[in-house]
Formats: sequence, structure tokens, C-alpha cells
Amino acid sequence: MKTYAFVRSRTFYREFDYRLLTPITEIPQNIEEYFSGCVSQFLSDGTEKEDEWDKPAWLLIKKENCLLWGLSIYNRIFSRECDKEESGRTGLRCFCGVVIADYDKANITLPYEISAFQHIFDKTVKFMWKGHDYEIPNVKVELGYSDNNISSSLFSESLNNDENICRLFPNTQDATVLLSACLASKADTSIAVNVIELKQVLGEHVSIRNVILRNHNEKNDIIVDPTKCSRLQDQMETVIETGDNGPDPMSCNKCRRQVTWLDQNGICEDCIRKMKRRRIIVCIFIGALILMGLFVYMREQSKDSVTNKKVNPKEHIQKESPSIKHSDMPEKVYPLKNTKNIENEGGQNEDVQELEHDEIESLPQQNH
Amino acid sequence: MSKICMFGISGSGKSCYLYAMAQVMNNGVKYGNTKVSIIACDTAQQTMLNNGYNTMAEGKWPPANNNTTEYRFCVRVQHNNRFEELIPSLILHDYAGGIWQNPTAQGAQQRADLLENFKQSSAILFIVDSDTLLKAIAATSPQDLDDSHRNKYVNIPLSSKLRAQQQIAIVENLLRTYKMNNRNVLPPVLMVITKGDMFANKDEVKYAYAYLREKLPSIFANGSGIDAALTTVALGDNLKNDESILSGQLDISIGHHIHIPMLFALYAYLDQVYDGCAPDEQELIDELLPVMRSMFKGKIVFYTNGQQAFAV
Repeated sequence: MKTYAFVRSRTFYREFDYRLLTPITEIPQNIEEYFSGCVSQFLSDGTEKEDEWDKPAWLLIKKENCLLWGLSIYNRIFSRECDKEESGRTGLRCFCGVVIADYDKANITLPYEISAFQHIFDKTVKFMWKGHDYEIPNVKVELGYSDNNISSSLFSESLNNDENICRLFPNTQDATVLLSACLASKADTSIAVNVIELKQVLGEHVSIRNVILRNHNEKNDIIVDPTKCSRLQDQMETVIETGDNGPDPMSCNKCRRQVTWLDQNGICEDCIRKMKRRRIIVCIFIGALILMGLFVYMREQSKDSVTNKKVNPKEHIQKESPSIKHSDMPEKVYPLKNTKNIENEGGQNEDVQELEHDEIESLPQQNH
Repeated sequence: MSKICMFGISGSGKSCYLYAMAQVMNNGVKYGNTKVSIIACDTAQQTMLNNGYNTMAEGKWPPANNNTTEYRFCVRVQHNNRFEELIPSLILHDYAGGIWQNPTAQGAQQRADLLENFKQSSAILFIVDSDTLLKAIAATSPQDLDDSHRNKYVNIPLSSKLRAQQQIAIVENLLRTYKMNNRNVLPPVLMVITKGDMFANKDEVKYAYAYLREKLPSIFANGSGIDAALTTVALGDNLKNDESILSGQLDISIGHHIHIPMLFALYAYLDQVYDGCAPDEQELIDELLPVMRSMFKGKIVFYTNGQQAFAV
């Protein structure tokens, strides 16, 4: 059994943003990336009330032969020094945890107190705080001592193991029971406890299967992917349809209809199809015109060579085509495409006005 | 492409700017018979943006962002009593500040993702704060600083000044790399200098603009082929951060130019889609663009291919 630190936070210097401070290369990459994604989501910016992040939110994930266990909390709970970064922003947060590889599934005990993670924080965030290291891989640690622990116990029927469901438990639920049941579970599973907001546990690529939400007082199942869910009819008591379960209806930028899918330009499928069809027709039309033009040209060429006729320059009359007077054209000046630098006789750009010192009004008005 | 890419240095105020912008543009910006407004497509996002600004209004700076965020906005226009949802879904990618410091494969992926989004964007907003610029200027041209700032910025550690310079140099690197791989084409770029209330006077703003133009030749040099612009925004007056306590006076009036970056992005978008629009839409755009240029007056400096395009 190997235990590694798994810590996400940021360090003092402003250019070093939130990141995984302690990546692990000694476990399968897909597992490390999965854990990293979960932890990143778990630290999502939620409500910013003063006391929200003062209390820990715990996360336990079991995936194949690896286990992730840790808590997210304000840095200042571990160390005041690591509360404020260079720009002066305080309230920095961390996920401070461990990844245990090849753990004994039948016989494992995990500490369930903040103090048991202090040494991990000191060895990682505090150690790197004013350094310029981006990360330190494969930091081996020991599990901390705690009076309060969780260990494998009997499987609980309440525990959800379906990856397509996120089960919400009321805040009265005994977290220790569920955590222990999660540890005992033979299958991959996950649980988050004392979570502030749903978006910490439900994201684009992340879904925690069991969640105890702080301000939630009933038991609900959220369908994560209805096309895959196998227990939809049997297990569901209440379904909450959140915005995370499917795409919000959106308006197409072209036809303005409400649709569920838009491409990166904000255009719906129907409009894309219509545009493609239009393009094909236009191409065919242009192609036909070109062919016709070529045909006529070739015919004229062959006529000329047959008759051997020379054009008399005196007979070549250049007709003046009716032209649109410039003054009739509406003035359209698009600085990003069509701006012309017209030089007048003085050699100065007519269209460009040199900014004088007094004319720079780029400073937002100040009320000193 | 109804997409905007917004990125900038960590701590430059991107999130605070977005919170303030959401308030200003929700109310709408009016000029004559034209009003432009923006709301989030998703109620939850609008609520999040409102909460962010409310936190500031209650005297607290928001904490640092953990992730890159995608916002979806609906852009509406009221023009001569005609109401139109000009862009039902405008995507704005707000990139986390530290992605170019990340040496890992994930960091490379994030940067690749950012550059890919450049390609799909109608405008790029690069955010840099006045404090970073003043430090960078102090490293090489301290005489350009106002007397009130000279002592402060000249005496800060050299490492701090160098890092400020390096932040901007990295951006030049990024833009240059993008241009090299994309046939020298880049969407219009707006350099947004935040915390504009920190500048002592217009001279400092002028030197800051000159500094950026000198350090970002990929977009400002003669022959760059790029449309670029500069503006300065502020969220209020005399704003300070003391242990995350916000002091000073917040202000969401247009006098602080908060609306300008979004109007710039809208302007670039309309210019881009003009040729593909129906005649009646073109007619509306023909009327809107001059109005928007009037809205820009005195607040933004445009450059085309390294030359000052026009002064507004």
C-alpha cells in the first residue's frame, strides 16, 4: 500500500494559479486525471459567504485499486500564512488529501479529522508557498493520526453505486455510516460529505454518486445521464431535473428558434443544412456560368481565327458606362475592414486624426 | 462567430470586471435612440454574476478563481423603437490566469484550447491591470511614472518588476505563436487595462499604452495585419484591497468604461458577419455601427495594421 499526497491549491505568487500541486505519476494516468478532475470540481467557486469554506467538505472516491480521500477547506484553517496571495486576495482554498494505491480493501481505516491532514498541508502548500516550483510529483506521506476514523463496515442499502445517479442525502444523514459503507463497497463508488453546492459534485465530466448537501433535507436521486441509467424505474424516488442533466434550450443566431444544440458559431443543425445546400447550389451555378463563359469564349476565338478579321482601332468605341456618383453612395466606413488611409495633397492621412495630448480621454473619469 | 475569448494575468481583475460588466450591461448602454444590453442566457449564471457584484458592494473582494468558466450572454438592441436580439447566444470564455505558467501536459492542452478558441472568436480581450503595467514600466523607464508613483514603484523588488514584464512578454509569445500557425490571421484584439483608477494622470495612461504597443509587436507593429485597440476600465474610484476588504467607491456608470470591451466585441462581431447578413439585417448594422463608434468616443484607441485607424 502506497500513500501519496494529493493537494490542489495555489501558491503566493500571482502568476501561479490554482493547480494540482502534487501530481502522481506512479499510479495509472487515467485514474490520476479522474481524481484531478473531481478535485478541481470539488473546489469550484461556490457561494462566498464568510463561513462556507471554514467547515470541511470531505470527498472519498474509490476507483479500481486506488482510493482518494481528503477535504476541501480554507487554507487559513491550516495556516494563516497561506491565506493571502501576492495580489492581496484572501480566502484561498485547498483540497488536501491522499491517494492510496493498492490498499487493503477489507481492512482500511481513514482519519476523519482536519488535524490529521495538517502535516500533509505543511509538506505541500506551506512548503511551496513562496517558491517557484509549479508542482512536486509523487510526494509520499503517512496517514495522519485521528481520534475519529472511518473503517470498512457492512454494506448499506442506501448507498448508490450507479454511476448514472447522484443520490442526495439530507443533512441529518449520519455521514460516518455512509463513508464506512462506501469503504466496504467492493465496486467503484464515491461519496462527498458536507458539500456546499451541487456544482462541486456534478460537472461536465464528474459526478459523485452519493452526496450529503449542507442545506438539503430530503433524499433525492438526480439522473446524471438518462440514456445510460439502468435503475431509472426501480430506484428513483424523486427526480430533480437540474440544468446539469441536459442542454439548456438556446436560440439559434440565424433563425432564432429555440433548439437544444448549437455549433460553435451559435447556428442550429437546420440552418447549417440549409446553408450547405445553398452553398452547393451557388457553386453549381457559378460553375455553370464559368463553363458557359468558356464555351462562348472558345466559340468567339474559333470564329476570329476563321475570318482572320483585325479590329480597326478607330472603330473601337469605348462607351462610358453609367457610373454611380460617389456622392450617391451611402457612407459606410468600417474601421476593421474598409478603413482607407486617404492622403491629401499635404501628404497627411485624411482619415486619421493625430491624437493631441489633451484629446486623450482614455483615462476613466476620476473623482479625486 | 458568436464567441469572445477573454484571458489575462492572474489577479488582473477578470472576474471583478465580469461582475461589474454584467451589472452595467444588464441596465443597458444608451446613445440617442439606441440601447445595447446584455444578459446571461442562464438564470443561474446571471445570479452568480449578481452575487459576485453584491459581494463587492458589501465591501469584500471575491476570491481567486479556480477554473476556466464559459459564460453565455444574450445581446439585445433597441434601435429606433425596434427591439432585436442581436446575438441570442454569445459565448465568453473566461480563462484562469495561470494557464501559461503550467509546464505540464495539462497546461499545454489548456493553451492549445485557448489558441483554438482564438480561431473561433470574433474578438479577443486581453486583460492586464495597471499595477502590473506600472511595475513593468518602472523596470525600464521609471521617469515615465508620475512623481506620486515613482517612489513606490521604483523601490519594489526587482524580481517583482521583472515578473510583471515577463507576464506581458509571455502574451506576445502566445500571440506570435498563434499568428505563425494561422497564416498571420488573428481576430481583433482589445487590450483592456483594468484598475484604471490607479493611474495618476493621463500621461501615465499614455505611457502604459506606448509600453503595450512596444511590447506587443505581433498586434501593434507596422505590417502586423491585425486590428487592435486599447482601453482602460475602472470599477470605481480609489479602490483598494486590504486583506480582501474592498475600500473606495464602486461605480457602475459608463464613465468608467466598463461597457467598452463588450461593445468592442459586439462591434467586431457585427463587422465580421455583415457580408453574410440579409439586406434588412445589413441595414440595421449600417445604422448601429456609427452609433457604436459614437459610444466609443474618447474611450478607446483603434489601430489597424500598426497604424492608428481612427481616433474616437
